[in-house]
This record gives sequence, C-alpha cells and structure tokens, in this order.
Amino acid sequence: MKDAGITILQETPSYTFVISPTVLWVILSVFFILFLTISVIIIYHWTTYSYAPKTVGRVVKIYGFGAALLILSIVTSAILYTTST
Amino acid sequence: MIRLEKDEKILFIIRKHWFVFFVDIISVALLLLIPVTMIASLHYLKQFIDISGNDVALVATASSVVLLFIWTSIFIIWTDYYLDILILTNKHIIDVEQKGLFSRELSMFRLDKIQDITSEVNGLIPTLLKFGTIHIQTAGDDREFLVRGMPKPFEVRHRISKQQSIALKESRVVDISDDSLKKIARS
Repeated sequence: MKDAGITILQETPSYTFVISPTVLWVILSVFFILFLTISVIIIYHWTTYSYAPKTVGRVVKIYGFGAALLILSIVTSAILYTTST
Repeated sequence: MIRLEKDEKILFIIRKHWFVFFVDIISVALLLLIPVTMIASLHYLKQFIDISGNDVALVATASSVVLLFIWTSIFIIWTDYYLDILILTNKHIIDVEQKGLFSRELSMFRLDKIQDITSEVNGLIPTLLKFGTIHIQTAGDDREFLVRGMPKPFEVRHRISKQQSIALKESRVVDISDDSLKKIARS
C-alpha cells in the first residue's frame, strides 16, 4: 500500500511503516512556516500593545529560547531519521 | 495604543487574575499526553509495526513538533491574558479585551458618567483566590460594562468609586473669574 510517500507493507503478523524523508521534510517545512507566521503575529502584539517593554523583552527571550531548543530537536531527530533510511 | 487627554494620568493598570490564565493553560497542557504516549507506546508498537529507519528519531521528531505546537499555544494564551487590561485614569475607565490574535475590543467610559459599580465573587475558588466580576453601569446609553476574573474586585470597586467621586467634584467646579468670563465672551 503506497499513498503520498507513506508506505505500509503488510507482513504477517506485523506491518512495516515507511515514511519517505522527502515527505517528512515537506511536512516539517509547512509546520515551520506556520510557526514563523504565528510567532511574527504574537511578537507584533506584544511590542505594539504592551505597556511594559521590559516584560516583553523577557518574554521574547523565553519564547525564542524554548522555540529554538525545540526546532533544534526537530531538525536533529529528522536528520537522524533521514540518514537511517 | 490608547490616547489619553492632555491632563489625564494613568492611576493603575490591572490584569485578570492568574487563575484565569491557569484554567486556559490546562486544556493545552493535556496535549502533553500526546508525546508522552508516543514515547511510552513505542516499545509496545514495535511488536506489531516495523518502522523503517530510526524509529526513535521519528518519534522524537513527531514529539518535538507537538511540543513546539504546545509551546506556541501557551504564548498565544498568555498574549490573550496579558493584553486584557483594565486601566483607571483620573478621567476614564478603559477596558481592553484581546479576543484571540485578530480581535481587540477597547471600551472607554468617563468616570463622571458612571452610575453604579457592583463587584461580586461567586464560588469556592474565586472566594479562596479573591477574584470576581465587576459590573459598571454608565449613564446615557444604559451600557453595562462587565469585567470578569478581576483580582480583589471589592478593592478595585472602592478605588474606582473613590476616583469617581473626585471626577464628579471636578466636573462640578465652574470657573467664574473675570478672566474666564472674558474668554467666554470673546469666543
């Protein structure tokens, strides 16, 4: 069975699940664009409507640090998966 | 941004109680179960499904994507909470309500137009954590102004009432000195 880069090969008694690295990177790119768009919108709100610039500065740092760590984790694990297939 | 009048001063800015933010966060926090379940069930699933390539890396990628979604959602909720404010100036009371990312409502009332202020605390948690609702009735167009999740609503009501009395006194003061009469005559 093959559909949009995801292949499930039925073998008795188990299944083999294959996700093509190209499909994985396309999905991740879509998520990344979505994440960037939302980030720009929320940071715009903080900088435009906030009454405490110091708080905004701190929050941008926390948000950026957490997001950077998670993106690093996504990219590293995706590279590991790509090289293993 | 809010534009104040020349001699208008901000007396205090108040945000909703932290519990309001906490309740909103709980629903997002439940999504943490997704990566936890994915990691926990990987060993079990391996008995039935053979994931081609590095299965741990694939699960780690998916879990990190979910975590990034949760992380972003927390900050969207925080934005909603952080930008919802009540501002008391020496002339106005301003309520700013952020509704999601693309909707923002700003209500502004003159303090001397306020007819009635009521504060209420309903329920066990609001009583213990001291937060509630403030109703403000204004004159003229019979508009009711409702602010939910306010910390220390009785204290806030007292401060608004106090400032309202000052605003009423100021609005009643009429300058009838010679200079002011001459200015009126000229205009």
